[in-house]
Amino acid sequence: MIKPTLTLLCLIFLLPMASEAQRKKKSKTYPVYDVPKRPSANESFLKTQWWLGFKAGANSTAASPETRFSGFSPINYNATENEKSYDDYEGVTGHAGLEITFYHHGWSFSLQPNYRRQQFTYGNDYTWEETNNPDNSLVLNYSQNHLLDYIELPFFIKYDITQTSFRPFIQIGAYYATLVNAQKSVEISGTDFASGNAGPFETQELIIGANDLFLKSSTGLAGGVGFSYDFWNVRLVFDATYRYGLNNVVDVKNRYAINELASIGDAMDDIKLKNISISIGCVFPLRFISEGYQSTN
Amino acid sequence: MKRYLLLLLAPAILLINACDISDNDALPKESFLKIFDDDSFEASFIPIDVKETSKGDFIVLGATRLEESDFTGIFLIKTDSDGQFITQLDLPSDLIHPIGDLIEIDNKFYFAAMNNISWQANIIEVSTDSLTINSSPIGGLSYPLHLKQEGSELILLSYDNDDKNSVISVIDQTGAVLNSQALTIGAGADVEAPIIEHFTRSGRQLPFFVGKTEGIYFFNGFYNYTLSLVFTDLNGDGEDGVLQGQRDDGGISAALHLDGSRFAFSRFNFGDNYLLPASNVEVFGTTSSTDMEGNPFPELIPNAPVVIKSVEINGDEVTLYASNTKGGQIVLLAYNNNGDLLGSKYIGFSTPYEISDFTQTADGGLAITGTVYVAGRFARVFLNKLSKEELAEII
Repeated sequence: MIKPTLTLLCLIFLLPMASEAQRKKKSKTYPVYDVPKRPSANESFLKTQWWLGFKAGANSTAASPETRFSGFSPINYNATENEKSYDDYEGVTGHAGLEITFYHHGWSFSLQPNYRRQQFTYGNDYTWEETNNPDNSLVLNYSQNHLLDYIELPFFIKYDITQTSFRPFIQIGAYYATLVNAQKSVEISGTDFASGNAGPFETQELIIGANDLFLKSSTGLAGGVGFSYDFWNVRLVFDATYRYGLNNVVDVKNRYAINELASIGDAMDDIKLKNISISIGCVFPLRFISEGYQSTN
Repeated sequence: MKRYLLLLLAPAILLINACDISDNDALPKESFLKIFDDDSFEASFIPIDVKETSKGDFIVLGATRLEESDFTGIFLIKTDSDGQFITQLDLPSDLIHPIGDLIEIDNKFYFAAMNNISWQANIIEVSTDSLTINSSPIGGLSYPLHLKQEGSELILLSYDNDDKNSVISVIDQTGAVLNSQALTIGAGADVEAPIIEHFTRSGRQLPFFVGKTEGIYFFNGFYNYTLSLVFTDLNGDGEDGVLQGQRDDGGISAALHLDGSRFAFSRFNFGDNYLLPASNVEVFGTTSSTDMEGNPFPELIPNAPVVIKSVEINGDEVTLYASNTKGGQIVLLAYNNNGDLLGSKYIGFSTPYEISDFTQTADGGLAITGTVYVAGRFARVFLNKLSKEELAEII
């Protein structure tokens, strides 16, 4: 009974040792078998790469009021009657810039500095009526349009869902933007029912520089989807990105400081910007460019 | 590789540098411009004065047209410290023609008005918490023109319609007359006409005001057929000195006593306006305002109303003028004690603005009230609060 047990124990301990010895022996005898397969130049190229190019596109903005302000403080009607009404994603503006991307094993780290114009609008309506004759009235509509030019530095982390020449990707990131220029226009239109007939009228559009009205800095988070397509030695990139502003872009100290606006009762709300961008870009590989390489390989 | 890494770190560095985001805070009460709108087509408001309460709220005194009277009715508006409308009090129509200044004594506010039948002058006490009033007749005085606080004294300028006198009086909060001096405006209805038109607002608003230098009282009112600046010690022996105008076509439009015999003046002469930010005047003599040199100011509307007050800016006493321009704006002009212009600021742009009065606030800013013609036609009260920093930007 003792003999078979000892034999079994010996087998248990000796077999792995024999196996290890065999492995070491093999390694020692045929080292070439253990060398990992060397990737081809094209595979290395695609696994780690820098890309540089340009991109441009269109964007649309919505302003989200956080705290509301008004130059009008009504004494006999509810202040909500002439509260600002925001037109979300109403206008389309453009952006253009560079894309600098570091790619590694399906992941990309991308800096995309760009010059972008963003636009948002709001309107207010005011009505004055004669107490004993409501037909005798004046209706005014204030339409206010804002154009904000930013130099933006967004940073994205992208993940390519496939590793083929057609590569859908998702991206998340954050941005910092600095205001370069801001312009505001005010158009007053309305109907005068009190001057003999229902006469529509429009005042001359007031356009003013509004740099002081807005904060220099704008930051936020961004996320989106897109795809790239490799052909020849270039990569075409298309993406749709949503930006969510994290800070109030209005300079609260200057809310009433611009005479032209404060005097007509306009006071900016505290607002955060949301933006949808669609971009198309073309990027080029920076490393290992050689005549022999075709990105579609 | 390091260069690329720095490039990727750039956004993080910029985020850290975005200090303006963290600094982007200011209390709404520091700076605002509020228009107190009424949606009635026929509503019309004439603000007179504004004062800040001890709690930081604001009280605006104003006049409004009455259908049942040739004179104006009285309203008070109370706002919070952010300038948001809280409540409005329309005084009973037996009290008419409110006049400033709106004066604070022991957390209560006072102004003058008159009875709509007897024309008796009244002093109105306002409790700001509940915005309630208590009126007391000012003994024997009628047609009040201006009430001013100088130290512990309340000085009232009024018009005696029976004897055709301008009357300057020292009164107390209960309406008791402590001292008084009456001076004739001159005989004849022609002299009185502009005074009555002033009261009914059917003619020009004339620059009636009172004040006091070291021991000498003065009033700007009709005396001897002329709108004049009259100095008197109230000892019952008539005037001590006169700075004559040109009937109601010329004279002093505002004055602030600086020191000794020096005043900051503005004057008007047949529509023209002149600013004299540091001018000597013979308190005990007879002179003419037309002989006084001054800075012509053609930017102002003809015979412009002018407010002159001393305000503290960056620790210095500054003489601040406010008036109305031909462009429909209010201009603020700051002068130092030597009469040198320090700077200016404009309020209003495409909508006409007119000055009524201003007052320095406890936080070192400035509260300005006046009329704004909303949509170019509706006369509404505005309240503009400048922060201490905005006020300092004037100089």
